[in-house]
Amino acid sequence: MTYYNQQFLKIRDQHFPKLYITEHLSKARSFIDDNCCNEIDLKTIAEFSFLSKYHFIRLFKRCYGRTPHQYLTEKRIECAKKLITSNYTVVETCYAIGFSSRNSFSATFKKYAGVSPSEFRKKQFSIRSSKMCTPILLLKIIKNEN
Amino acid sequence: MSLLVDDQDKALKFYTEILGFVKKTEIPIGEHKWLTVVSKEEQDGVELVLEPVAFPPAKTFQKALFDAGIPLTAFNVDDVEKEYQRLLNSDISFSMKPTAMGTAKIAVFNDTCGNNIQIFEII
Repeated sequence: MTYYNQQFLKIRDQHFPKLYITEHLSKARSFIDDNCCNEIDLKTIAEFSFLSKYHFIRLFKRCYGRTPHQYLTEKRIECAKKLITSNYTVVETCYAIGFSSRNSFSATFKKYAGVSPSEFRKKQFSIRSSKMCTPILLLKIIKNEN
Repeated sequence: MSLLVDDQDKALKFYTEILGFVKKTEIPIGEHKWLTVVSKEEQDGVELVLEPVAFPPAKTFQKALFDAGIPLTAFNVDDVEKEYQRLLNSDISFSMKPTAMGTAKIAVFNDTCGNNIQIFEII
């Protein structure tokens, strides 16, 4: 057995929960993935892991590096990015992913994506229009102008 | 991202034909070349430089990692078990079979260019 394998198994046995618990955590994570735009609360998510709320939060963070709430927010922001890219307005996106206030949505989006939803939208549209303007298209535009 | 390899042509063959990367850049520079590959799914994403291990201290570093079984880098895959079976069928040897650690599953194989490479999936 290599040095790496030995260290790997040592860390696994000392720091991570047993396999049956991680399987429950994984199911809870899939539940968040499938329902990230619906109204879900911690109690419902924790029920998937058969753990108490606080134990669940602790183990989830240990395995995934963030709390269930942070994970849920990340998923919602990922979803928001897809919706904005597919032509939703910022307000439509805000309500579609389960936020009830635009201000709170904009602040959260900026925290996770680094830019505000409207800046993100503007950027996406400028990328899209620059991609659409191929050299052939430009040539046609120039020809038509002449 | 840079990956030390003992032979660039062999590495290009391995990383494209076996692992499924796509060649992006190949510019001859004297004895060696500026050689990069990218993921098939994200061809505008991160480029992997297949860099010749010509500098002796780099060789020492690469060998020390290899002998200890430590991966030089890790790639995220959808299904570790499936990749393990696929690579085994291509006669690739593994120093670690698919193993779970918390909610991650990993495996480590020999890239035939002097490195251990880890593949992982978050479950």
